[in-house]
Amino acid sequence: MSSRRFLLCLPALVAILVGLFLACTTNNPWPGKESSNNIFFTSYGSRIKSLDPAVSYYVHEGAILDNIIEAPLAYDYLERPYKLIPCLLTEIPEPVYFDQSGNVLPDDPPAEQVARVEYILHVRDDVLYQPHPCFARNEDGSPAYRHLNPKLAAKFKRIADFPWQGTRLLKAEDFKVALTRFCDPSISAAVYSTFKSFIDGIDECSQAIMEETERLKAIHGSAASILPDYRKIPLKGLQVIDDHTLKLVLRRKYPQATYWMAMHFFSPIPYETLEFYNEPALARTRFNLRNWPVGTGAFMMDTFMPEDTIILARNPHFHDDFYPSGGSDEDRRNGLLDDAGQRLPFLDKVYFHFEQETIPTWLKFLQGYYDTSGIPNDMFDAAVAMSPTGDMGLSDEMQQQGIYLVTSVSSTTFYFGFNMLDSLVGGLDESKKYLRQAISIAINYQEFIDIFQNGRGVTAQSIIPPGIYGSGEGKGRVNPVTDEWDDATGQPRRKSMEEARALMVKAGYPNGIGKNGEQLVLYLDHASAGAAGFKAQFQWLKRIFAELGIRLEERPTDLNRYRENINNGNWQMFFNRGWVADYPDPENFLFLFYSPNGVVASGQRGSNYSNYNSPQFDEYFRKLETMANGPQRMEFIQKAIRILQEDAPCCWGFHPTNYTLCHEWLKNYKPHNISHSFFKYYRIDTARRQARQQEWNRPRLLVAYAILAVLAALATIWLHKRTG
Amino acid sequence: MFAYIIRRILYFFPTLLGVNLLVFVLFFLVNTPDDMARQALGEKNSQPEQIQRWKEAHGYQLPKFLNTQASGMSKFTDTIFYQKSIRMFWGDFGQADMTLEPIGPEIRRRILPSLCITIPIFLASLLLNILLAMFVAYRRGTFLDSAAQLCCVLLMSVSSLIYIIAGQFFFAKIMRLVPVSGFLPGLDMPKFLILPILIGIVGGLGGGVRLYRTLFLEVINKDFVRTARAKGLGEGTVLFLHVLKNAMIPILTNVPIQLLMLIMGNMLLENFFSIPGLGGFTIMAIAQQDFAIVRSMVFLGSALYCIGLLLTDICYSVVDPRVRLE
Repeated sequence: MSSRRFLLCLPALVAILVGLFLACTTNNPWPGKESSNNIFFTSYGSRIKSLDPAVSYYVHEGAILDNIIEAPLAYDYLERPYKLIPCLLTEIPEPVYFDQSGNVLPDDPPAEQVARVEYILHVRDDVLYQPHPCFARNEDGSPAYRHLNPKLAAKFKRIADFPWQGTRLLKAEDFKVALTRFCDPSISAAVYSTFKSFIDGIDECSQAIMEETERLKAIHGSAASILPDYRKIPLKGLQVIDDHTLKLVLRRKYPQATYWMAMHFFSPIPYETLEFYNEPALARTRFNLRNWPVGTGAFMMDTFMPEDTIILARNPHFHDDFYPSGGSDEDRRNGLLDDAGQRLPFLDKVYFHFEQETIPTWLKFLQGYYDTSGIPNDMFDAAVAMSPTGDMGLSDEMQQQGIYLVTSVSSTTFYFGFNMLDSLVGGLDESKKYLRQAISIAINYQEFIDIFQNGRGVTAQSIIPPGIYGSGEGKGRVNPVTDEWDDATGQPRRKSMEEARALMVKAGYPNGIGKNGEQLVLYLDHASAGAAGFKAQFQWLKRIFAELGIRLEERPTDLNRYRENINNGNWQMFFNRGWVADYPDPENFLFLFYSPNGVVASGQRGSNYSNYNSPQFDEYFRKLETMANGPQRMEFIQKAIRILQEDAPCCWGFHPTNYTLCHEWLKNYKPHNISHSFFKYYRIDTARRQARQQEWNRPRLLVAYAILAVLAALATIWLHKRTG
Repeated sequence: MFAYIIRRILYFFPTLLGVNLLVFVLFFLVNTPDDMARQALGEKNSQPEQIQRWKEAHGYQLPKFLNTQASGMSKFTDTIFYQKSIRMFWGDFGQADMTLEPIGPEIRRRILPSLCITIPIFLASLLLNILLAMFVAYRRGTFLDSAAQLCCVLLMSVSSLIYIIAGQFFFAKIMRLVPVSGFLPGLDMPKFLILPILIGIVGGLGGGVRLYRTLFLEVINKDFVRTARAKGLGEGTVLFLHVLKNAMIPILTNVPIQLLMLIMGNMLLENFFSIPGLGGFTIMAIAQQDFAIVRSMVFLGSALYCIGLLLTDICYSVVDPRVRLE
């Protein structure tokens, strides 16, 4: 073939090769036939810092970790309000109160009489750990993996690659190991200070570990991997009575301790796991407790490549666990009780894919490659449509795809805060109170939700989100300072700007002009200068303040300096600070205003960012903090809330509403705002999914081939002309 | 030449030390170890004692440059600068501050995915840019030249993000030909790479063609080109043998630096196409104030740049006999 003829054939050849490539490929992002298997596909957008139960504190980490490990207690999947149930314990432990002399106090004694609290924890005797090489034993009973060859260890990519695997029964000692390790300073455990505040002997244990570590360093040298024997280091707060019984000792009355027992900080850790991961040969590998947690949960870590994919696989040793049957009528109508009594889990695997951008995630969801999705702000109008009656529902396109929408108000409160130490807006004297109340009325959070949140949120009437004990219902939750009840809509309605202006007069700033004749200037401190949408939000705030005659200026800074300013009390107002519930108890929100928790007063140890200090509120808080739920506690909660509403240390902002889209083949989806251990309840209709994926993703090859043919023909004609 | 290369290699050390020092000072001007601890622990857990524990566990409780409490060499070695930055000279990148993962193996793991998109983009762009630029230069002053320049300006005016989003929407969602994003090794890899590579090429086409056109136009009017034409050589021979060869000197001399810097990945494409490369790794580290990764990536980048500059000088002497390294 001459070179000219070859040149003329070249476009056709390239087109054929590209056509062949396109014929062999699909837009399916999952390997092999995985998308037709019993797998739940989801994504995460933030880096996984640690899956170590003592350290991990982020929601996206919890979604992985809490499905691998289990805690002594758990939350019922369907029951609302949230209800604790036993998980690794046989029953929910009851507190026994002791006075200073060691005498047992009856029933529910006042906190000041209590010197010590004991919980007896009965550990289940039928729970096995997931298969793991740390449990593998030689014939003589010694660990199968000791003094590992580093070259051999480097070859293994997954825990399942280790040829010998084993398991063993859960023991009470594993809880003791976990909590003692939690005290180890080298771990940098999350919530250490919180645990220290109620569990007995945490600091002493921490000191003992430091001494033991120093002793081991002296023996083995500082370069060696040091692992204190946590089984032998005493911890007064948690004592092993026998293989299946523990005693938890608290320093004070703290009913919320049971909620902490439902978190992964209390999960058991077998000492064998720590010994295995402490092998020097594994030091340069990814095999450690931060990446490969070992647990008794429904799933176990199968693949850990956090930069790309994390896969959980069904734990073959998972204990008896059944789908709950105690849901509401609404749950029954939504088909959430169809699987009641069925053995869990339903899924074989869970795929987590790392996606930093929302648009690719959204497109993959529309293609059926993700089973659920949130709604990116940019796509809200495409996904949600407003009905003529003003109700939000799915758009026609979504409905045609069989997608269904699940909404839930999250247990989170965003609020606009005033620094109570500030000379202009802080303090409890009447004029300052009126000024804050006026601003609180003016900042209409319903408008904020409509403009900036696509309507996804509920205006907050107090710091406690709906669904948490004490939040109130209907008229009962209205903040009388800023809102009034609208019988027509059955919703709270913001008071008028006239009322806000009247309060400004009472505050000594008629039309925003102070006694010195100058306009009141207030400052908003923030670290959001580069954040998308903040500029518009600030303009919105500026307009609102201008309506009161106040000039609002911003004081932008970087995040580090902003945190420093908050810690030092060197700020005036902040905007949309959020608090997410750790557990479903009002104490977890009201403690944000308890004066000993003041950020400045406590030397940055507390979470009272407003530095609010009201002896009256403190008194109610101290009472309700340690009380069991009941009419009296409810009364104290309402009184505490009322004081906060009156003093207005914050403008209560909003509770975001989570919108989750689910494909029709996903069953048993019910959002739970506290617990992350939910994958075991999900069921996938894989046949349906496969059919829909094929229907939605059939490549448009004819169009592609036509384009290729036209391009190839044009190129050939041009070459023919040029070389002719 | 050998002595010159040795001398240049020896220059690497003060250069890298200077870069290290600069990064260290700049980072700690805006971040204190306390800030890093707060970032790692989260705001709810940032009590002073937990911050102190974090710093001790991560080696940030030490003084920055001089440890007056220590004696002898420990005054310099028991410092953050020595422990965190100087160790990189012998290849010890240490551990990430936020995840405690060893950084060296992480970089090795991420190099391949990065190179999988940056090398094809680089090579294909180079080839396409040269061919198109040469064609446009050949047709200089004609309607085609003006139209091509207009297209180039249009291509340059569109943000890379638009190419990415439009590409994902058209090829993955509408045409359903390739996945929207993701990365799998082995035979599945091409279907994930073809779209980011295509977008990378198209995104760089406008600027590339205009640059190379300028380079070719500088040469195309030279005396030796006129002489070549006067000798009766065909336009193809003139362009590919004489113009290209002489215009390639500035092009080729940049290639070593560009080739080495390909290792650092493409931040935007990696982010949007979920490719687990070094570009996304660096972005994430900056966002999370992970000093260990930031300094490692800067060190790696500056080391590669130094090597690239040396190779550039060597290339000069190879492609242009007038240049002598002394």
